[in-house]
Amino acid sequence: MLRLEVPIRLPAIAEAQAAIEAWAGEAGLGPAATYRLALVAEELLANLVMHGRFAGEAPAARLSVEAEGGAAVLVIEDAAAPFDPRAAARPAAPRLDDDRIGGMGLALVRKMAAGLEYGPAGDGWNRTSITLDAA
Amino acid sequence: MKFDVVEINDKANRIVLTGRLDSGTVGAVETPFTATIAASGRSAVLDLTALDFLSSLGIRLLLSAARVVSRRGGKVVLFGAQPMVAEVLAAMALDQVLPLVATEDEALARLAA
Repeated sequence: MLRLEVPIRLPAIAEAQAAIEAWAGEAGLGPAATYRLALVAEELLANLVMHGRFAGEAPAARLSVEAEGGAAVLVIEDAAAPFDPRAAARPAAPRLDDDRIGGMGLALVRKMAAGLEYGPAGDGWNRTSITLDAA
Repeated sequence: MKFDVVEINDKANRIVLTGRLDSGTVGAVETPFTATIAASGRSAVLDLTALDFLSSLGIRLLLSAARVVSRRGGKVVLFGAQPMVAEVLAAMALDQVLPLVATEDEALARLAA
């Protein structure tokens, strides 16, 4: 199991991804599962950096990854205002004459995840749990 | 992340993307990449064979570059994506705006179409 504290800023995401990819290698995950894990982590963390609303200075997110049977489970806990990724609007297909390209990151998370859970983590924190096929 | 520009003819460039295009690299590459594509005034085929990782932030950069080229009457076509990069592109339903084909020849044929 890997546990990380990830500061809420973009440069911290690359460090988290490097740690996740190293862990995935040791855990025997294949290249596709490793990619999906690093991608989902980036999309969720980048959303927190770019759109998360925090009361005062944002405390680092708590991230963990664990291999469980044939799956990998990624959990991210954050202190932002609650935002349920399952309820986010589905984005329209991108067009060249339309600059509004939002929601792509969460759409990717939903496509890659075999399971997605969201709920309170206590003390006003939120917990997002993603299950990914490890194959 | 690095990108190299190779002139194919007076209408098109090949742009070779190497490394990762994601939260760790988009900030540094965004301005020079878009400026290079805009300044050329040409269509572009993007060689993705050496692109190891692409996230939604990277896709946004590719989309904004394609938008600039399209305003000038050109096209952007992607080719040679690794399997997971291809999966990410397919998941985002980008066929209409950033078509992905297997080879450079197919990409050039799409530009001419």
